[in-house]
Amino acid sequence: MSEPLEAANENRVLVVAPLGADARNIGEVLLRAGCEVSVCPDVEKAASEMALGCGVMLLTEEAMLSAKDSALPQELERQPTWSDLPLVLITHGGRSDRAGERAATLLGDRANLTLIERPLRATTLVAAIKTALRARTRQYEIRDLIADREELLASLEQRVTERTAKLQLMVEELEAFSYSVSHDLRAPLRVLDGYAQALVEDYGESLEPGAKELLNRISRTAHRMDRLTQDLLAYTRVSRGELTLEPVDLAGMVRAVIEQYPSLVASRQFIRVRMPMGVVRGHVPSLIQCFSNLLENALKFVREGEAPRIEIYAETFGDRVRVTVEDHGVGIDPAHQRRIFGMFERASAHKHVPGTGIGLAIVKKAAERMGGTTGVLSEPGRGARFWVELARAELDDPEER
Amino acid sequence: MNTAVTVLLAEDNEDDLFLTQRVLRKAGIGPVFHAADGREAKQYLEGVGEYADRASYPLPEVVLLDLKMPEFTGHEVLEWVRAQPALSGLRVYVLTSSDEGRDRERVEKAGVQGYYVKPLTPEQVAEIFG
Repeated sequence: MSEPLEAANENRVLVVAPLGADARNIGEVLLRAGCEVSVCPDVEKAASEMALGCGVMLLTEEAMLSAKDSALPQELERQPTWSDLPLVLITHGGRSDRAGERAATLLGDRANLTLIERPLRATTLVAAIKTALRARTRQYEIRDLIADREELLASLEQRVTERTAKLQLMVEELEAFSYSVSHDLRAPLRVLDGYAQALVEDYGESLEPGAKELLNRISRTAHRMDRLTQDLLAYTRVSRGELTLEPVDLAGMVRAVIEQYPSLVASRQFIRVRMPMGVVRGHVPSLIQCFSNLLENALKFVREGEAPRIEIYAETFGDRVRVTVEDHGVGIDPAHQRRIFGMFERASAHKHVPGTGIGLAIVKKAAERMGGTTGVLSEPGRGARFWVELARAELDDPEER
Repeated sequence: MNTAVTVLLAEDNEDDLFLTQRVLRKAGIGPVFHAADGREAKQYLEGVGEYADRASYPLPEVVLLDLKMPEFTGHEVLEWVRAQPALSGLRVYVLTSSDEGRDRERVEKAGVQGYYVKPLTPEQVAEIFG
């Protein structure tokens, strides 16, 4: 409600003159000059009118007598930062200095005061008021700029809030999705496998060997599908979510990987960890995901009739550490080396080796999420060296791990 | 293995019910009572309605609890059980279709005797009732 009022009054001149004749004269002069004028009998009234909009306040020295206990000094003090209301004080001739000083004491330092001496000339008065109004217009322009900027800031803030809420929702939906993939997609596979095994156990005696083999194939397929779902889940997990990077002791991490994975524990005699390994900036679950996949791969792709022979070691290049898993297995054709890090890509020569084609995609994604890179060096028949390169770090506290 | 054990199997999925009942039967474990969802499991343990008749529905020593069930989830049933002083001696084993970290954390916080991914194997049955 106050805004349109303020806009309507914002260029008016508030004339504060206790003497009726004075007020009338001044008012007429200003009206003739095209000004909007409101006359107030005392400073108290002027103070309350000021809040409704005012371009200039014109006071006579008589009016100042009642200023001391009025609300005007407070009103002036209370102006918004953009506002500095011009005050024009009409003084008695030859007493301007004292009148000015008194006005300053009465109205406070915030007063933007101009003095005009009597006898009053219409031209001087009009010129002083017009100048003050022009200055006031500038103040309004600044006010509008500030308002625009605040509106813009508010809308930006609003947009950021909305975006954040939307992102949060997406993350929650993804969480719910992967939870339901994990539960609902895998449950029927386990049941399928359960039924196939129940058949073998309960009716195995009366089944022909061919029938039993078919049941085993059903079981194996269910297992493969289960593994695929698990890998897809692992991939979505390394693709999203917050990763907090911290200094990780590589030797401890590799030990944890080997101990956590049954397939790796069973083959640990084939894995040689070359010390020392050092410390990188990484995320432990993602690192475990990377190196369990690389080690499992290395164990799988052996040359026929040979035992696996795997080495894992770290090399420092400046501020980077490259961790390599080296095998002496079948190796990879250069034509496939780039592709094998893609989703569902498998080197066609090894279709007989079980796998989902997601393992190396997980390694690549996990390395990228940790600000690292990954790659492979290999020659067919001469093994492969898969590496993950990460930022070098120092352990803050050796007791921590 | 101590086979004479009263078991409450809370499971809403027919296939899982069939496979779990089968593996228990093969091990000779019983009697096994069944609750088809979380609410029924809670009512059974509370002895509400028809379950007030403890001659027909004896209080179990072991509860095998599925996590994802309608009405009340296994988590809710477990947390309720752990808040009942009268059921403090109850052994609860969670059977789940997926080894989700957050499920395991929540279950362990409430307190369980074991956590298994379905279907239950004969070896796991021996572990529970051994």
